[in-house]
Amino acid sequence: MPNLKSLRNRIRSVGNTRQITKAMKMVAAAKLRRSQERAQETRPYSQGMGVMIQSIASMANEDSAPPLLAAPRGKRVCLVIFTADRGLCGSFNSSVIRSVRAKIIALQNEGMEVSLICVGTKARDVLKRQFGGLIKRTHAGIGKDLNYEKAEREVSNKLLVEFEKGEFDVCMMVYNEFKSAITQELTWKQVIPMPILEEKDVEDSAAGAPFYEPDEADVLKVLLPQNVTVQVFQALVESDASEHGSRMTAMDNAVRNAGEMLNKLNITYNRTRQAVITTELMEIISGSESLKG
Amino acid sequence: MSVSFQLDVITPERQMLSEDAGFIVAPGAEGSFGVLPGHAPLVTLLNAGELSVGWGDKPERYAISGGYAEVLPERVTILVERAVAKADINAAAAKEELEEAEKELTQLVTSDPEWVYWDKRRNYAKACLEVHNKKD
Repeated sequence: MPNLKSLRNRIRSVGNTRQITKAMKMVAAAKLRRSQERAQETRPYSQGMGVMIQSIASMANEDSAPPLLAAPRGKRVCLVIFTADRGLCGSFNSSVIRSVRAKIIALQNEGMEVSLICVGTKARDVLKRQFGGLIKRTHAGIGKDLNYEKAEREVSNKLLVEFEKGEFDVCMMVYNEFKSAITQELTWKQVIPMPILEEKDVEDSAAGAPFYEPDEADVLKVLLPQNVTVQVFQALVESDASEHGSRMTAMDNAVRNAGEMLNKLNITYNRTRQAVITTELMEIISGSESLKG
Repeated sequence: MSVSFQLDVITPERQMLSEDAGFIVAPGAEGSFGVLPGHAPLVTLLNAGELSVGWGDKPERYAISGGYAEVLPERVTILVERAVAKADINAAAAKEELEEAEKELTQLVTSDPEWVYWDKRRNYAKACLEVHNKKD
């Protein structure tokens, strides 16, 4: 039977853990609300951009297509991995990392050369053991006061410069897309070169081909790099919202588990205490009985 | 023909406007242009500058950064990185931003991606000040 002191300590520490996880849950819930709004407000822009690009791109002819749109020129793939900087958020980081691992191996089997860019330190921490040599750089702390300009300056501009220099030929992003506070969907998206959908916008053809000012090529030249930025920004906000959602759910479970454990411990504690009292009483009674006799 | 069209002004951070408008005047890359309902389809780059939206002779003014506009007969979509209504412009902050951007720009070469970044900020700040100082 465990002694009373160790039980008391145990109860106190579980109680503290519950307090902490409860606080983390509250914080995550508060942050989630903001991130969620932001994720939803970003969608119209990236959708609008997508529609515009698709309608222009389908008109650009194969030969003159800019490199950001044309078929990949080589076999070097750059994966941009969006994870959190911190843990304690359920399967949020691990699901991304698991999928990345499988992807790297699949790509290498196809004879591709893979490099990694980690946005969020968790992916680097885990992947550096197995794929340390592939990691090009890591962006830490980007989820903190995130805004469009930060995404542009710190992530996408570097990406575009490296692409221009020819350091990679294809760029794919992987992130958790925010569905609701309890569900996130792992999403793979190719951003460079921009994939062209086969079907043309119906509305567009109804109104007749639009007039471009300056011409298509010029519009496309500006539109494409910006699209990369938008996609990166979208991935960042989605990932940020997912992180908070995931953490909130994970912490909610932790609070519940700690509560259950506390109940069990309290019962054991009370039982043990009662047993001790009973034993003491028995000793006293039997002592006094023996004195009488 | 209808007297209005659907106007959406969207920035990456929020949907700025989504309403019916009678006309707009936007700063196109090759000069300002006006749009009335039933305009021919057009896709154009936008410079930083003033966007006015209105029904009558009292348009509402906005300062926008560079971006794109897609014009269809019944709908205009404007995608810009930043946009602000005239009443919300903080002139002091815009001035500060302009000075900071100009200072940074003197130290950079034009091929640097950072130059593009600061150039955009400068143009946007300029547009804000311009719109702010305009008398109706």
